[in-house]
Amino acid sequence: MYCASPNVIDRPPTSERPDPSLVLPFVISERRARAIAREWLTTRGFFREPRLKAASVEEIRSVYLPAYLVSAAAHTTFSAEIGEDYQETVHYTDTDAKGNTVHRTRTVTRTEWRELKGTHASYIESLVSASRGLPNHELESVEPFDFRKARRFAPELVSGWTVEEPSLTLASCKQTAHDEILRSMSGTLESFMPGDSHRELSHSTTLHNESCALSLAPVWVLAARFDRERAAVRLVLNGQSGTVYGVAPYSKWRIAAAIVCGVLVLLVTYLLATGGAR
Amino acid sequence: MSSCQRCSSDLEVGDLQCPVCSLATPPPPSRAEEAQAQILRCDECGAAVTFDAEAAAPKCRFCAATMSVETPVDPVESPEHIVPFAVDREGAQRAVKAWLSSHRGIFQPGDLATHAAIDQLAQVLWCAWIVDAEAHITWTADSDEGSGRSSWAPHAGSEDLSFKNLIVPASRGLTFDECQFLAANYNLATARPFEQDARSVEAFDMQRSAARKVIQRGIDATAASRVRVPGSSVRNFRNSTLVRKLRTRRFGLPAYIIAYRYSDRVYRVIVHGQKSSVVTGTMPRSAARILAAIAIGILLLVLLVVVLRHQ
Repeated sequence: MYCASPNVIDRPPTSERPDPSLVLPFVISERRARAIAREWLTTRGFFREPRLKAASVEEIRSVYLPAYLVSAAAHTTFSAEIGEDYQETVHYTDTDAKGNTVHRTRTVTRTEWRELKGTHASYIESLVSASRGLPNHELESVEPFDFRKARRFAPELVSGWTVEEPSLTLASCKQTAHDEILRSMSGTLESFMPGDSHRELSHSTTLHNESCALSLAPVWVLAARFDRERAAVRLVLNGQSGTVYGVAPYSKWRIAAAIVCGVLVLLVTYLLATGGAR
Repeated sequence: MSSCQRCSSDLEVGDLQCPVCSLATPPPPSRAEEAQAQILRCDECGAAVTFDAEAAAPKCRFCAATMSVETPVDPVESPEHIVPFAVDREGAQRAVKAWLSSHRGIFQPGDLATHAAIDQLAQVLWCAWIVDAEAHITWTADSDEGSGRSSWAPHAGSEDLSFKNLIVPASRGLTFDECQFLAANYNLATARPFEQDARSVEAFDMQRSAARKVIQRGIDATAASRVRVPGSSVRNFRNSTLVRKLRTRRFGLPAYIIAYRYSDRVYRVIVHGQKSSVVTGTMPRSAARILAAIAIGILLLVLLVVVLRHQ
């Protein structure tokens, strides 16, 4: 960067590791990323480690994360039992206050179950991480990325930034994408069902004309440390939208204190209640 | 213009992904022939450059000059074709007068047609997408057809529909309802290529990427309205649509926006630019007439009570 040496070294693409086709340029600068991380650290809940507020960002690095954008036309066949509610008047006998038998009626809601088979068609897409270093669930936590801002890959767009090579195979990424698609399809079908309720929903999805585009997603990775003895808290930050993912450790002391307080309150209530009864 | 390899929809220059099914488009052929190794140097001082997030462009760390890079093509669009006016200004004014006298309800003032004065008359070409597409629509719904103890029975189905010359409004100047009202009566065969002329043509107030969402919604809504669910009453209609062969053209469609004044207040009327009998707009209400109606209503109630008392 300082000796005017080239920043991007091209290597020939292979079928296993294709060239990226899309780049989502960084929007969040390092300064912004630090500010967002600071904000995140100071706004954790009561039961989280209080020293996080004073934690220092020890390490920050930007990475263009390799991720496959898998898209396809999904054709799904489903079958389910659909519940249609109806009202029914029920006659029953009861005894009134004087001990006489009386006939009464009330309306109850019953459900009629009908079988339904059908199809669902839509285009779907899923972005899955192709990096071992940043697993897919972390990427999912900072999604979405706006692909309308995507640019066609060109070395000048990523020059000066770290571009990670895909470390997972295309086949395993496709598998992850399929799992993700099937999971989201279940949710889609849940809200696609008619009726007042449904049960026994089963479906099978086939993907047509599937495509995988290797994309580079902008991500900031930060390490924040609040205690030298303990591992740093790792934060992942969407370099386009600023969404943060991280696991803030719980504060054992605060949780213990809360339990003690709860028990005390219960005890006092119990004592007061039994004391009042005496 | 090329088309998508998955859904055969038209792609426009600069599209990196298909607007309909988001398939990545193949790179333009010229790139493949470029040299493999690229060394990026600043135009100003010759140093190697880096991409700067704040400038959203490669930036030299030494002299802070930014280089321009290919920006994604997401333009604000303008019409390609316009449909000419078939109604002239006098015709539009006459249409307003005729509408005021023929569409006057009982709560509108009686002298509306004679006392309304036209304040402003603007010729506009409002913009819309004319869409051709094929859609595979899958749906579920409850209907009374085949119902048992419950009054509803579940249904599911799928249909292949094709759309020709579907008008999806893109106008900010006219409301969606006004556009829908006008849309049916245009003769698109009279359209001619748009050239920048003196007439005010509304700009598509939307970028291409946002526009496509609106188009998809338009197709979805129309597809849903064309589906025939068995039975006479329907609830819980849900649909999912797979659009293919989407082809959109941008049109400017003629209309008159007219403001007329009646007793110091201004009302708005839209007159179709090709068919003067198609008019929509707002009309004043006569306070005196409404009060009279209420008074009559109260009188009738009182009368009814009196009659019932005497029986």
